[in-house]
Amino acid sequence: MTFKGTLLFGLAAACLLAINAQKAPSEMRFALAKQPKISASTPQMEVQRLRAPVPAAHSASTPQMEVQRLRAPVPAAHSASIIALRNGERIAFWFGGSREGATDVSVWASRYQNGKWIKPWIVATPAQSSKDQWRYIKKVGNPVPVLDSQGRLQLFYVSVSMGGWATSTLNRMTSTDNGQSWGPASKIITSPFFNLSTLVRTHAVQLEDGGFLLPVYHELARKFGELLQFNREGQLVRKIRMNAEGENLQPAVIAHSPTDAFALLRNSGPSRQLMLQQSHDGGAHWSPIQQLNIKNPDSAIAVERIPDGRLIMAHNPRSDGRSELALSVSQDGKNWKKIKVIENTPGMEFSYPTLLVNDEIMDLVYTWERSEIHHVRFNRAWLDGAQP
Amino acid sequence: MMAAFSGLLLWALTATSLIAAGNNRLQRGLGLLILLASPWLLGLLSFPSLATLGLATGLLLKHKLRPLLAAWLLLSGLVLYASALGFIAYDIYALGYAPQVILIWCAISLGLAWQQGHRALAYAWLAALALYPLGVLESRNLWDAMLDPIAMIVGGVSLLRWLWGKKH
Repeated sequence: MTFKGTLLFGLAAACLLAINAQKAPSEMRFALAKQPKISASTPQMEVQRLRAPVPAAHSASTPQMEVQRLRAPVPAAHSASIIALRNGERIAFWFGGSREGATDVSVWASRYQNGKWIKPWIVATPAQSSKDQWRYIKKVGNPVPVLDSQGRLQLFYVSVSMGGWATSTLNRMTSTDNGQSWGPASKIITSPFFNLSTLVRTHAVQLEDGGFLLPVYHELARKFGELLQFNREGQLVRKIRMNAEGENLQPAVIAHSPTDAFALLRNSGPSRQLMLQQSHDGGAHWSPIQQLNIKNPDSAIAVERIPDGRLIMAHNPRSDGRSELALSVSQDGKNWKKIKVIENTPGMEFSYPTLLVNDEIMDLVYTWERSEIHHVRFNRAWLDGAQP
Repeated sequence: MMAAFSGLLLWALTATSLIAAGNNRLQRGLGLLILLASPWLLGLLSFPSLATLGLATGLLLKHKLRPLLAAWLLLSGLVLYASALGFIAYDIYALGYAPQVILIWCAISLGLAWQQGHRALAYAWLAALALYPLGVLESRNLWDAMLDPIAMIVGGVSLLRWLWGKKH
């Protein structure tokens, strides 16, 4: 170890340390722009109408609600998510196979065109994900689409190489043609501990700078919500821990001003009450967890904002299971009123809802008995009207 | 694609170093196993940090992992992974996306590796600092280039062996 060698090493180290000094990303602000409007007329429903028929033309003042099934040719289905494309169409994703967690489970998609869901197709499989990423992947799940500011459809989903869902890692595929074709899947590294345990379930929140915040959660040793900030180019630039309480997951984040947002979190602890956190700086920091007086049977929730300013939540409102799925509304994110019951059959399971709000029309997708996905389309008049 | 390939390459280089070092059958067998199972390891354990590669190369170059450096690896890993798993409320890993604060840790690590005579690790950490801004690694977090649980475990085992040797 000569003096000259030490000097050269020190110089090289100093230069490289200087090169790596990066400023933290600028402060975040939520983008509150409206989502694309649906087309003016909605054609007559033709398939699998289960409940109250919907007239051909939507009217804001006439209560309207319809239910359709999304069925892939496999016996198990779970964890659906829905998004509006720029052309106004809806596309839904879910995972399905012989049973949850089986190696034949794939990520399925279907498109809502002309008032009905077209035949589902496979978007991602463990085999294709393995090939794309040059590594062994055993199973896939929890797809969540994000329409970024560039118009690209990014599909996040979890995958597992060994063990249960708690060892999941995050994957992403991108489509530039509204989901018709997809680029190869890539791995997103989010944890220093063998990249284990980052799961996604809930919708992203758009940011003013063209990026977005993706709510994720950790559930290996303790369970807690996190946020991943992606920039306009789609690169992961920041990770935010929402709390370290240890018994919460699947944060559903909804912004109500450029700096303010609520997050409702699933409760995996014994209290069986929904959890709330708030941010007043664009999502960079979150308030301590507040337990709300709303039951949550360790079950996923979905929350969106209605154009009149109220929040709408789809959730399982009972503490003893997922046999009831309801819609509740709130003015402040803390006090909720149950106004519609979508499903209520003891002994059955209705879970993992995702909501999409486009002006007067709202879409709800959820898991029905772990065997198929149901889609409920309704308008505000139905939401605020009497129980059908 | 490139990022995924770099992960496989790091596993292959680590395995090759172990095989070439060839101190005993166990080491050679382990190296061969890593080489053959690298796609599986990449899925299960993600990519190895440059520290693990440096430690494997150190075996080949007969660099001794001294107690102070071993303790540094162990302590750094314990704090980082306890934080990552939620046992510490503050997320230390998040600092690695916009490295400023953790560059102090990097400077200490580089200095310590060099001072302790483990040049393989010192150069590996330099290489990590050179590769990170190029974006060729799969992670955009500097921690992943600098440290992984394997390096922490190697540090821990090395420290235990030293303590055991001192006692007996």
